[in-house]
Amino acid sequence: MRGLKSLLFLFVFLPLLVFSQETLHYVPGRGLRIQPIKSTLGGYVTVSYERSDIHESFELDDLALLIYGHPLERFKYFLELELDDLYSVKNGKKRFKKRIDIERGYIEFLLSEAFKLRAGRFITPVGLWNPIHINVLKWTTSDPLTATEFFPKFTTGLEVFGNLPSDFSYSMFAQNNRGISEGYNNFLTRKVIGGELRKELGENLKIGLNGGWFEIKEPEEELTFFGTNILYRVPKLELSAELMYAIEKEKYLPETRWSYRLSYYAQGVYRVFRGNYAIVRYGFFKDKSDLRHYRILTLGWNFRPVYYTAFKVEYQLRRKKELSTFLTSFSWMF
Amino acid sequence: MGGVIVALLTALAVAVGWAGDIVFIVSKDSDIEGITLSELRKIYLREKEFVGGQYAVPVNLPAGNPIRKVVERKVLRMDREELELYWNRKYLDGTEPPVVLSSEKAVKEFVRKVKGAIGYVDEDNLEEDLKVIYRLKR
Repeated sequence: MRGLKSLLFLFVFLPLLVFSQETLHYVPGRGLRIQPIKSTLGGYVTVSYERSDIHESFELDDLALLIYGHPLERFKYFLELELDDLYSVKNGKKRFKKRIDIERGYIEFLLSEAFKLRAGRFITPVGLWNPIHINVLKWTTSDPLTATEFFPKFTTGLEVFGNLPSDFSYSMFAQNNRGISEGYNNFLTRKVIGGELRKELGENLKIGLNGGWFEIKEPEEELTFFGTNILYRVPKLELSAELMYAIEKEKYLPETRWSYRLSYYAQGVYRVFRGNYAIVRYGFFKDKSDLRHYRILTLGWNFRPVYYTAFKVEYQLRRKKELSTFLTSFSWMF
Repeated sequence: MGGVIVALLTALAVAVGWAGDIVFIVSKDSDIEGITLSELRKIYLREKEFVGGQYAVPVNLPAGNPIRKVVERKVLRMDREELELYWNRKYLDGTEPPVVLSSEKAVKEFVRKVKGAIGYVDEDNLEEDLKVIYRLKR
């Protein structure tokens, strides 16, 4: 609770005390602009509920506060602190988490359009889904497995990125150290390298190719991943698909064993009427284990009464009926 | 009352196609000589940050301004709802939307003073010390 109070003090009361009212400008869902330091304070929160035959959970998660700015022409900074799973009830067990994690914390140097450098903890720039994993931005509460099983969601290290001629853009990233808030990631890893190359084909179509390698600490494994993605967007309609493939080297066994994992999804989003979106997604995942072989059809609805909120409901149909899941969430940006 | 009449006449002029082109402008001293529609779109969506080695500072007129509406429709090619969703993502990614200034006069002043600034005005309000880098038919 003390952590939460400290956060509120740092992010809300301190700016109000230090800066005069005239230099502060608040817009709902766009944060508090602090003109003297050319920075913005804001955040978001999510409440979610999930139910299947074998699982039920309610979570107040993703309470995040962020501050970022662009104080110099070629310098930016970004800090996002998060109380993830702040309060949850999972299968009847209540939990109140007090730990604050750094979701993102980096500085950025803009050397040119083609060469920008980021250092710190950032979202791993791979695929379509991972860079927009924040609940309020996503079309559905759940994530496709292409975004969770193939590479670490966050990297603590260096990223070089930029726009190239002929509508190409790229990102390359590397880590060779302990991670910031490394427990708050989908893989515990200290060695990562990878990149993605994207190409725009006109205004409506984007394709991407990615690849990389990383080492998992526990259990000791190495994953080499490759992927591709495509995004087509016209007014009212968005079609997207991603495919990921990884070669897995299990080093913890007496004899090193090689295996693979494969996943893909295809998704369609249609704006039915103002603020209302219908979503259909088909996803596939398979790895060495027969238990982890999924085909998931997700039918969802995303309702945005105002631009800074999202109500979502979805139903995931799976082959095993007991795994079919209903999910709903409300998220709000402030 | 005078302001209302001017606004009504402007709206009428736009409706019957009398209004001039919209011109994208930079300071006369700027190194930027010309720009493509695609580059302009990326600059206003903050996907492109440099033009010819210069850090670009795009400037908007207020939401609801008739010139801005044309720019959103013809340059950004997004409706209001699409733009709001777009800026949601940018907001949580640490990117500020273009600066909003209250009038064409303020845009011209800003463009004169700030290196790399790019704004737009009605061509009828263009002044000699400003350089046109793109002309948009209404």
